Amino acid sequence: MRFRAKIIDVGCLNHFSRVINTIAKLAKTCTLRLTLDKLYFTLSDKVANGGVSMWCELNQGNFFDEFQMEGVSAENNEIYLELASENFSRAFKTAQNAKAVKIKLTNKHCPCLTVAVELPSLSGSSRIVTHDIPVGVIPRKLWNDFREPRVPDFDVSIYLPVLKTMKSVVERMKNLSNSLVIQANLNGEMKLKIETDLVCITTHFKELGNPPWGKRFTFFVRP
Amino acid sequence: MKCIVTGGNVKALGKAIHALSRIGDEIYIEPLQEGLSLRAINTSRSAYACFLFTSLFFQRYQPGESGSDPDVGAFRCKVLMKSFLAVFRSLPALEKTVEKCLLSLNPRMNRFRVQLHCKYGVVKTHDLSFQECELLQAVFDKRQYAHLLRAPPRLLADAVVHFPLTLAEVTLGASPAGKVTLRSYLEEETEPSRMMVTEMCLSEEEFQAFHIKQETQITFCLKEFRGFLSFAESSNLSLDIHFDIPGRPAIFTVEDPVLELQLVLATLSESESRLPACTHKPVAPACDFTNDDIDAYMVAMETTCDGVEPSPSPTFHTRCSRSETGESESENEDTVLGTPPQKRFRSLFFGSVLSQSQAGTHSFSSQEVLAEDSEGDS
Repeated sequence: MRFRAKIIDVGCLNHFSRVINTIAKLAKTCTLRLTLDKLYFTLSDKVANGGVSMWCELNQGNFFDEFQMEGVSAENNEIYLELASENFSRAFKTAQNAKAVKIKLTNKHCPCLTVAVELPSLSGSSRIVTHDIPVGVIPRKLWNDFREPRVPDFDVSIYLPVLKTMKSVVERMKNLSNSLVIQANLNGEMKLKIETDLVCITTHFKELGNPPWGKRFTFFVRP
Repeated sequence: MKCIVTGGNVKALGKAIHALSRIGDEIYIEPLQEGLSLRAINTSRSAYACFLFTSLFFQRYQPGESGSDPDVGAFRCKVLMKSFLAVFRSLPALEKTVEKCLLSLNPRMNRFRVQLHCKYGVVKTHDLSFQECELLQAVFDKRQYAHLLRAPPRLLADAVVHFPLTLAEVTLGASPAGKVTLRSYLEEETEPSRMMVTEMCLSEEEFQAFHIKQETQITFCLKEFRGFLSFAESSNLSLDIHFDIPGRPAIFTVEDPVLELQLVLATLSESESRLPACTHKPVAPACDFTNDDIDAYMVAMETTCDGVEPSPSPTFHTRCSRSETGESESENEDTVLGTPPQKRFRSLFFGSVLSQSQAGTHSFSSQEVLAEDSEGDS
């Protein structure tokens, strides 16, 4: 099992850091799955943790300048690791304005994902910061637990409004109620609603549009 | 004692109090002939800081009472850090509004008075209660120290930001080959598979002076070091690090005609900081950024179906058997190498200040007293 990757481009680095920061906010520990051309950050459904699942898929080519991996075997050319996402995001926090960042799978005091950061310095010689993030290597018999979650059958699908608008609405509603009702129809209308004993608030969104989903909603597919 | 601080020096004084507040709960004030000394020591007595503001720092500095005999031993007192810090709480406000700060200490008045003269004629007077105390002085001779590093405090401040705030201690390593490293120190009881280890590598060129006779590693507390750096960084002077074998305190100094800063940090002694083989296997050099040999980092773990993997859950689990042996080890602690030390840092300073009961709890009899007994001072 080998893995080594390198990011040089600042834009890619910032983008990758943002992805990891988001993941760290959502999940304490997550699974990192590495394949030849993709990285996946997943959180599998555990009822004890509130039943939230997460599935984040990145094309390695969009981020990394170098990407080499060798999986468990030729027919199972993948690596599954479990890691504390906070550690990963903290490591990348120190990588702001780095010249280059390398991520490696290493075997130090325990299996580690080593993030090596090359920082610029005044004297011209580089400063190197390395973070050894302990990881758990997930045995192959458990890989099936980390399949992509299946989306249940649905009757309505709708494009969401601008996320910033929605965020500010939901954030205000959060102060008044613990649960929120989402209603949407196939005419591009959506409602966000909270109901309490004292107050009932509904925000209406119009003309959102409904995405086409193959045969089932063929009448929405534009020619 | 009476002194007047004006202009930007008020903020500097405020910053110094902030830095000292990260070290101890009490601030020791001693008006000396050469200047005003402010000192602090942490509760475990592993860190001591002394900031001396020479008379040049002040617009007016009068160490004793007017007309008093300068030969009489200086009056010393300590003030609760919390109350002193409250006076200088907001540094931006201090900079914006305070024009002049007056410190006066009159033993007969039982009050240490801090007066802030602000804009528009506003005068804020804080009377702080103090306690008379004996001399707090760490005794060391930095000329006897084998190794010296000199660098702008900024360099070290930039280096320590990469370490998590929760990290208690850091290991400073230096080798004559010109490499300086800072590395997270993992306490023995921490699970190695849970903690992230961070290492920072600096090259010799970044240092203004680099005198390392042999490869040395010392481990000291980070919190107090950060506090010291935050103040040293604002002074724009260079910081000297004097250190020697593990276990001997490390001394950090910044010197200037106006300001003399000293921080003395206890370091883990050799046997204690000796890295147990299990938790700290000699790791591949961290400064291997240029080394691209992928084979060097191969992780060979049994992950196939037929392997008898003892952990059915993919959650973190111990990969080394340390925790299992840990309990049996605790019974014969003295004989097993690498067991947790009874007290991690030796209480290195101020033997005289330790109360009897406190001193009695120390399991080691050979406590080295590095402080002069000031009981008999006249």
